[in-house]
Amino acid sequence: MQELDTSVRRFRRRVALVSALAFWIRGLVLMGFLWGTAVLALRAGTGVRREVLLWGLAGALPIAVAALILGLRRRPSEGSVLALLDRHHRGGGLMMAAGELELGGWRGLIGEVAVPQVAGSYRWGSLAAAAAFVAGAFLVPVTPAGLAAERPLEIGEEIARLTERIELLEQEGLLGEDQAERFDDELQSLQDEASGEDPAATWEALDHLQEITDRAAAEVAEAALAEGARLAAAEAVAEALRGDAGGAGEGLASEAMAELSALTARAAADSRLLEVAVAAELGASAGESLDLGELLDALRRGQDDLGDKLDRLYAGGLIDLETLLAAKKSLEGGDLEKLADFLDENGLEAAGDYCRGGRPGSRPGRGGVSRGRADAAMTWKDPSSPEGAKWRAQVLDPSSLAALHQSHLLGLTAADPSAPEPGAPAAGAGIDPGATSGGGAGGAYTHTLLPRHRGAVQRYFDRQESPR
Amino acid sequence: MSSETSPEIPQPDDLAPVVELASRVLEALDRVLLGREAFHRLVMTGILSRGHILLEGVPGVGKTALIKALGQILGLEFNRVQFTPDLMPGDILGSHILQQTAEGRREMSFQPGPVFTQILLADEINRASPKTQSALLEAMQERSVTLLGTTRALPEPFFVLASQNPIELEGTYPLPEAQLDRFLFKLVVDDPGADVLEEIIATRRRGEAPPPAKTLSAAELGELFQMMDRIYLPQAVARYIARLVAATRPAADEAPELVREVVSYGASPRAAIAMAEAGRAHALLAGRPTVGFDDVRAVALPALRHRLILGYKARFDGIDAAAVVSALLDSVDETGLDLPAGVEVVSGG
Repeated sequence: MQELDTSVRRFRRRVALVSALAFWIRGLVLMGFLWGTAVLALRAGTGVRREVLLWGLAGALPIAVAALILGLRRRPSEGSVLALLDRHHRGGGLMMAAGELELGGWRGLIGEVAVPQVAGSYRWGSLAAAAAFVAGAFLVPVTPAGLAAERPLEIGEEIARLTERIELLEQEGLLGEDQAERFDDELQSLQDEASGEDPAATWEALDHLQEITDRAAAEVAEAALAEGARLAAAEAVAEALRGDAGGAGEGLASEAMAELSALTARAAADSRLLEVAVAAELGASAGESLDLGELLDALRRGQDDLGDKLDRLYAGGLIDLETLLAAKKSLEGGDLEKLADFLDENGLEAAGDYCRGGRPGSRPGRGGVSRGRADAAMTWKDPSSPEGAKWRAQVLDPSSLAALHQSHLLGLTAADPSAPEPGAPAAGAGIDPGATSGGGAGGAYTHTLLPRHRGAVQRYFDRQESPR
Repeated sequence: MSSETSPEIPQPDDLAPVVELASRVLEALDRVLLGREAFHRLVMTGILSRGHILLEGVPGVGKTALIKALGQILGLEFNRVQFTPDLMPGDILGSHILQQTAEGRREMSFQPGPVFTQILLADEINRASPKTQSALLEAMQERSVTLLGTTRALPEPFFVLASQNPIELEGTYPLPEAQLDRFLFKLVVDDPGADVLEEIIATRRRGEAPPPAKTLSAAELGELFQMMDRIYLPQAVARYIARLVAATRPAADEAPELVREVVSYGASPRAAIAMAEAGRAHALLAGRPTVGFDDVRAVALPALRHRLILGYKARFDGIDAAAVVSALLDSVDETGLDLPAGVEVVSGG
């Protein structure tokens, strides 16, 4: 119990301290979140050491001073404290009056006054959360952006792969030495200068080099397709010329020889795809003294050489499997008709016709698994003579006649287009009595087709007409 | 009597005899009317505050007996007026009549009405017409009567103790707010309990109270009023009264939720004056030279009950003025201690 004045002073001081503590805790909470944010930002942005950032703790001191000042300013007035004490002790206004005038004889009734307890609701939970946030800001691993900028970008694999491609293109003669050297220098500088600061620029440069090599490889593939077709065509013509002993006519053969020479020379001209020696051999074979045997050997070596080059390009990843197969297929030639068409498109009509055996579609195929169809167009030579043939006239029965009238053309098949001689008896022979022979040495076989068989026959001719 | 408080509070030796006088009055009242000690205390508080009192109670609870006894105990003149619908203002205030003098002249002479007394019992005041009711306005406020341009002072002290019946409201005229505001207190006279009734029946023939002896002289009554002027009202208590009255207005910051919902109009400044004076009287009767918060809480309901104008919501929800005043006292902190957020007083030590 204390004197009233002392009690008032103590209560005001107690309120000031409790208020200051409450303000300080609130200030610490705010400081904690701001400090933690600053720690995270500085560690991530500039890589400042933790020991340096710990100095932020010193901010608690000015906050404490500010809280104390605020607490002192928010102290209740003496009059209100007296009112509080009067109410708590049921003073009936005496304590309040004591602060305003002399109580005189009533002073003794007041006596000692106990100071009320003051409590503050402190935000301990918020303070703990702020402290945890600060601790997390210090402890969480953060990779500074600057450090990331200093770390070089890992592009070693990409550099190695592009280097291999450039070397392969240079070895195959598809890239000039100067150009390849320039690309190598560029790759080396990329590897030296690549960093995490601007990865986009590095990847763009790598993509540019990749695009150059891809473009070179695509050009090679396209050229290989054409070269392969030329070599295959030249081989086919050479084989045809060597295998044919003047059967297609001297004029056509000489023209075909001349065009073969030109085709071989054109194939040898593209030194990018053929070895120098092979190209030279082709060029020599295509000279004035055209030796078909030597030419064929040279052409086959050229084909092998081109095939090997394509294999190496595929192994180096410069061309894909589809391109490789297409190029190899063009080397093999295959379809004689397409080969003849290729020759026609390249202005070598004589060679194309020669391939066709003097007339379109007459040249036999070479057959084999990788050489295309073996069927050849039917040729008509040495028409058979009607001498010694016996003909027997047969009158068609009415049903056959009726069926003939009801019949309609379902299709045509290959036959001798020459018309039968007028007056020649139509003789039937063979097992089938209904069979009649059409005119011509080849003999078109006709048979009365029952209606139910028409669909099958139609499908046969449709299948014949559709390209294989 | 001076209305200004003395700069010095009365000392114990000065206060004790006056408190004794007041106690004698209360004891005499308690002997006359049984079982109403607290009620008598409030009546005495009103008398010491020199205020008019409105008594509300059913017939037969002793309103008239109380006022008659009070007049006798205090040694004051007492008049009773039964208000009826046909009562005229002149019946209360007085009138001029034509009289012939001894010399044979005829002249108008003023005949004072029953208001010219020290305690006027206006019985069933709500039965008179508004015109008659308003005749008391000047008398209650100014303690004077003006008729035909002549103002006549009423005797000192002058009190109006009016009564009204809460039932049998047919044919009555509710007092206007302006006149209600002039009553210091509105006291509800409750029915006596069974024990009190038993005592009344057992000790009194026909329920008649024994006539009270005159307890106070005019001088002693004057001492009481003089001591009232010396009772000190601390600044904090005055601040509390002002905040209480301000909080009766719905738009006030400290107005509780109930006031905002059911009160249409709050109390006037006259209520604050009434509470201050009544607080002094309550402190005097308690033997203290200063007014405390408990004194204000004790007089708050009688002083505010008739000054709050409640809306229709209060009628529908059955909320009366007592509930509103109770909510007011619970919500307004006496000390006005403005502590920072999060800091509170947990004990008184």
